[in-house]
Amino acid sequence: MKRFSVWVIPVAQVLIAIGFVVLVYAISWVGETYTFKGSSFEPYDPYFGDSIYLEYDAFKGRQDVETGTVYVSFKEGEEGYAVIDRIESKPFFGGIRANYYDRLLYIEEMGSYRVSQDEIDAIKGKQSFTVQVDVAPWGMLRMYEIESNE
Amino acid sequence: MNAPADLFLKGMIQVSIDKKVREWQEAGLLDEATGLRLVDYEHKRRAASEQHDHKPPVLVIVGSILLALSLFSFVAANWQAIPDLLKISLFLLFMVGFYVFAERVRLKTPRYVTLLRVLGFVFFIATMAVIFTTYNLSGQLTLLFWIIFAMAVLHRVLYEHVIFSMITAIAAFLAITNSFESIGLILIGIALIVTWVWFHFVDESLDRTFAWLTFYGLLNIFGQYIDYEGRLWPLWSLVILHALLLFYRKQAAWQATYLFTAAVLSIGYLINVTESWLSQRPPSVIEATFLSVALVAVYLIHKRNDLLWVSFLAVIPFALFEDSGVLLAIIIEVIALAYLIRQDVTRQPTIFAFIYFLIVQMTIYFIYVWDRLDISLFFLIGALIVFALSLALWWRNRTRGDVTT
Repeated sequence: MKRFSVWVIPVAQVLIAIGFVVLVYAISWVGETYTFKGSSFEPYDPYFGDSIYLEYDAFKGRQDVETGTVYVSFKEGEEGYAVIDRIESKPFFGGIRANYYDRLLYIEEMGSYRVSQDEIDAIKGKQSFTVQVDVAPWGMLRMYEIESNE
Repeated sequence: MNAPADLFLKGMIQVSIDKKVREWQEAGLLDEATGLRLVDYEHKRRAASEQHDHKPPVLVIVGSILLALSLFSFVAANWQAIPDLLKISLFLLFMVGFYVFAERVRLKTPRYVTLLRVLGFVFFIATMAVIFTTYNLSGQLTLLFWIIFAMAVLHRVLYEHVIFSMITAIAAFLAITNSFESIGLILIGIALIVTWVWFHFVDESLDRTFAWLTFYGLLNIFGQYIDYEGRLWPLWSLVILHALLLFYRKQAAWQATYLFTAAVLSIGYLINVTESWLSQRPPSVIEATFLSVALVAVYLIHKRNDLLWVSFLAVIPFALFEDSGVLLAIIIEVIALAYLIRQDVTRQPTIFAFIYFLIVQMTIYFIYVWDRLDISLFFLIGALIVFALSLALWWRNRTRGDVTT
């Protein structure tokens, strides 16, 4: 018994780490894909380090919640871009954690996009983008494609 | 036959003994068999002592450090270029390596086992940090804190070392402070279960104290979750936690947390009653009544004389109606003094009672007397009152002593 119990912890920790990685990949397998229109708020060169910082049109405007941490889910709007479906102060299944201040919604995972090597040339110097985001039912999301609108 | 020659080749240190033995043999002092036995004996002894405290040569250590540094800097320089999964596997490999290493040295050098396990846990946290930054999972950060807390508890339960108590306590503190804004009911439930595991399976006062405080934090988070609007929730949490005493009856040091929390709360409410930073609302009369009854009831149920002082918090809900705070200040002042005297009379340690008494004085001074009275005059009045009291007590004891003799 003692011989096995010392291995419980390393095995559990490996499983937790693998579990999170699997969850991340599972976002794309089972999640819904939404298209967001985003723009860079960096006036000169938006490409900073290896990431680009973005804000989204869909997140602007007054929401019917108290400021602070909120949870939000999306649906596809008329123009094909994602719009906010449900927004609440308490966690709900499928809700993504966000912050709501000054009539602006901010999702930390979507605040910056890590640009891969082959995307850099298409991104440099541009200001307006279309971003593809996969959203999983368990409230995780993953951005995977960025295109310039210009 | 060639054993001495072998030995000669094996170690330069051996040389002197081999030479000496040959010299004695040639001089006819030793026969060949004895010489062989002597060399053999010396060789075995040296091998045994080398095995006993085996120390790698300094140059090997320096070399390994340089090698490790070059590896680390190489990895760091190419960090962006390494595929995500490879990065994570690298960290996982290190983590598992430390745990395996810990098991391998467990019998030979037990003093390093805990260090290696701590390093393994550190690498687990590092692995999760890499995963979270690589995939930008900041939304799940609260969950991560509670997972780290759960693993720390598991370390404490399975590896039974006190260092894991400290690590668990730190993990619990971080998890609690990061949970106030964003935690769901399921996570609160899991956190409560994990905390209970820590509390139940580690029968040490240090661990139970920290686990108790984690319970208390979780209950307050729960109050936040259900949007309790009022100022009395911290008191309710304390009342609820008295349920633990029903199951863990044996008197133990961790139960001092009830008194400690009560002391902190009394000071907190004393400040709050005038500043009202917790909530502007006056408490409802019904709730205040229920709370006061509950606080008295827990004492009547448990009949723990050392925890009697907790039930004096029953005055707070009603004292909050009087919002100049003078009433509460007077009550707390009297209780603090009574506690100090009671500890002294029953010959129990007075140090904490004394510290509490002092803090109450400071608080009252800062709230009420700050601009109106010089601090030295304030404490002079306090000192005179205390001296008068001690004189009265001493006088009473003396006269009573006279009567009995």
